[in-house]
Amino acid sequence: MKKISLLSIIIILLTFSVQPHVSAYTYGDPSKEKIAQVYEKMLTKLNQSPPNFEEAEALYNTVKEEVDMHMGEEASKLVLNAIENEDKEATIEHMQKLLAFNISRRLNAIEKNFNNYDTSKKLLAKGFATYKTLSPAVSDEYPELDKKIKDHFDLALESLGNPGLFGVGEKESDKEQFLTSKSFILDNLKKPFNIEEYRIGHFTESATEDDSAGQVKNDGYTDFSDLKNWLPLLFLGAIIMVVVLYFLRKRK
Amino acid sequence: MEIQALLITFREVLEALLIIGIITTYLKRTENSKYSKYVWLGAGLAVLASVGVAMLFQVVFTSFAAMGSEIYLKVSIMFASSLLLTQMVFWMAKHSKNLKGKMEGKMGELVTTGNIIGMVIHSFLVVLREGVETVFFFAAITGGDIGKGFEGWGAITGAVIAATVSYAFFKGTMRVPLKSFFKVTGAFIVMIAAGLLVQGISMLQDIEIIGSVMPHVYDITWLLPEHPIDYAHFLRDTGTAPIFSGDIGIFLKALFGYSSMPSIEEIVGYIGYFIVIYLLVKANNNDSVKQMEAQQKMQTSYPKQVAGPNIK
Repeated sequence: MKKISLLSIIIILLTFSVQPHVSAYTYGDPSKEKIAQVYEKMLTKLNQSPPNFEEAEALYNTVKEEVDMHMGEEASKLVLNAIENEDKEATIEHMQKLLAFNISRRLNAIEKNFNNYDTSKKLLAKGFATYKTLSPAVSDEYPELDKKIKDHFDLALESLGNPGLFGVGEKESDKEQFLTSKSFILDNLKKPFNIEEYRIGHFTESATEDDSAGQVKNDGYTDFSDLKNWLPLLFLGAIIMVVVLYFLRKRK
Repeated sequence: MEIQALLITFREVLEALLIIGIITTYLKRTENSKYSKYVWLGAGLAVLASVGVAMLFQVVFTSFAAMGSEIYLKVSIMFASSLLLTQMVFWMAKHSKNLKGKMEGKMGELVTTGNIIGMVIHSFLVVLREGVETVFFFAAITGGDIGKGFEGWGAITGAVIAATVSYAFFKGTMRVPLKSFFKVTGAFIVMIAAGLLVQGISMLQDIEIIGSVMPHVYDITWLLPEHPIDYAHFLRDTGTAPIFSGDIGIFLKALFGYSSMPSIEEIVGYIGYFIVIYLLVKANNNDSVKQMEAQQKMQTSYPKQVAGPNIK
């Protein structure tokens, strides 16, 4: 018995201790971008009457670290100053610029690492997820342009090609096409969001592989007024309670 | 990359063979080896299904809209596996209770058609989960060219080593009483199932399908990050390295569902899982003890009844 337990433990230790060093160990949804999600939540808080600047700031702080790291601290200063001054319009405007910078960051990262299909695909999906939140603002004024930008995101995705699987579905990549679409997207976002140049602070090199894998985990913000946040805990508690009661009844 | 491919297939194949080995060992020990081929058939079909899944994600679901779907597939398989392993825990607990030394050879009647179908589904889903995981890991190490991962010596060597190790393991267990075998392997399965459940909860929270009232109860990334990537990020962000390596963290994550910054729901789910399983197994055992006592009573009183005047 002792021998078998020891052997089992060794087997299990072996099994799990040899986890390979892969860098895409993420549970995050590639079609969602944290900064864009935070922007949407901030909009909801800012559109309340009166605007809830306190919650908007708390939300922004959940991505501040990431923004500071990848786009420089100045970007955060602009947003936080606007919140401090309780200037709703300026806050939204700065956030929109930040999102455009984020698209630029993602597209530049793809260009640097174009041949890594898996990472490029995920980064482009994140870039597109960011654009989707900006899209309403663009289409209000320039509906044609909004459609063209979306088309160029599709073209950019196609330009990445596809290594296929065992020869099935193989497609050549086209870097020229990618660069054309990238320029179109970035150049045409300048006008709606009053961007002169995509340069606040810096874009770090880490915006490649590690970045697509890592999720922003320092999210300390919780909206206690949202029932959705309470449901999982209530559900788990209810199951445990039911089983405990069932057990006690059986024991009698 | 060959070494990475080797480690990936070794781990995934070994995990799958551990579960299949438990099922086939049980069949063999209860003199039902004839059903083992169906279990292997389930496993074989799952390998084909895994290739199908890889094909879907690599070639079919490539639009922006479909790209997020792999996460939903992963979550579904996590919960399905956790549920099936939980059912297996109950099945093993029930049978190990009834098994007594030399009686094992007469356990044939315990194997019903329903059991066999269940075992085939088990082996199918377990292998499918490992297959899908292999596909996603391979996509990562090859930059998206999954097929490349299977070329070269790495993948096949890993699978061969895993098969050899599990063969040696299950060959050795043939001398161990089935009851002890079930108890030891059952404990592992409970831990694996609890880990899967918590990882499922964590994934749902990551993609914001479910919320949390406390996303991070504590954060001990500085001490023991849960993954080499978390280790690298901590080092990048703070300039100091965590005390323990992310490799230890990922081992603890797989074994105990460890998280360096868990949500309150993950903690409650993990501890609650053990409580629920313990209480349910205990309640079931009480039931079967009562049943056995009732049967024994029936058997002792039965002769008196049949010995009545109505018997011809």
